[in-house]
Amino acid sequence: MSVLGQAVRTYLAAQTGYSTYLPGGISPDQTGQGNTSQPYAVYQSMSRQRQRLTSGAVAATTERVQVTVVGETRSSAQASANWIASKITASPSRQTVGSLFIHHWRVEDEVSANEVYQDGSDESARIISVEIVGTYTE
Amino acid sequence: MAYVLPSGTTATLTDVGGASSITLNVTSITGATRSQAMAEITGLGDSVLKRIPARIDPGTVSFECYLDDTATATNHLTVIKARQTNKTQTVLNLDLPGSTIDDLLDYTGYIMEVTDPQIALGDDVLRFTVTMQVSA
Repeated sequence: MSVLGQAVRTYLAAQTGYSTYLPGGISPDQTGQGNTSQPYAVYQSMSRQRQRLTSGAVAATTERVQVTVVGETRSSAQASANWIASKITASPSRQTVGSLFIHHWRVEDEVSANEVYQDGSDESARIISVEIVGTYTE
Repeated sequence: MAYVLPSGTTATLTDVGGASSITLNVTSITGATRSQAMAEITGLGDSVLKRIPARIDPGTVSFECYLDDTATATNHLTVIKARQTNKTQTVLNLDLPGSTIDDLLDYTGYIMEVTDPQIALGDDVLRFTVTMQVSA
């Protein structure tokens, strides 16, 4: 489970426009069973690095999390991805989210795709993956 | 048996003769080089240089801490700079995990250099380096 991803979800869920841009919500790994609302987003941890003292205590952790937005149309998926990016960018620095103290977080790569199954057929889902990198103290 | 640094090592700075003590947020410690000066006593008639041990220089020890800014006025950087300003004789005590080596690496001396953290955008914690002249 992505610790940073949880914080991103907590943070975004409290932002204005959440129900508009992500009516399907944000879930870890895959969307909730039975969810029919789009766009929705899922998150997964890509990497996590800890900085330690000689005592072994963790001073800070840097994590890269991938948030994947799924929408029925390219424009809806893009609008939701843009909304996520704008909310992260709007509050990039020191803050407490849930139980985490976020030193900073930022949006890095963004990748679009519409071939989920790689079978050449048109599919109903348009996907945008946004990578968020953040450093936090638990 | 070789000693591999385990988790649990702590470093404290304490005033000599005082109660003031802080536990440092140490990320690394570079130990002192204790060197022995040699005095030359070669006579004019000697064909080989002769040297004998003279005084010992206890050297300097430096350690790197991360910047703990939970209280801006009293963070460790400020505290250590105050020790430098006040020329406070200080004991750096390393408590390595293990029952018989707690006093192995103790240094008594004065804060000689304090390097402010390098400021660059990144994910690393901010660190500053302190160099202490060992005086005894």
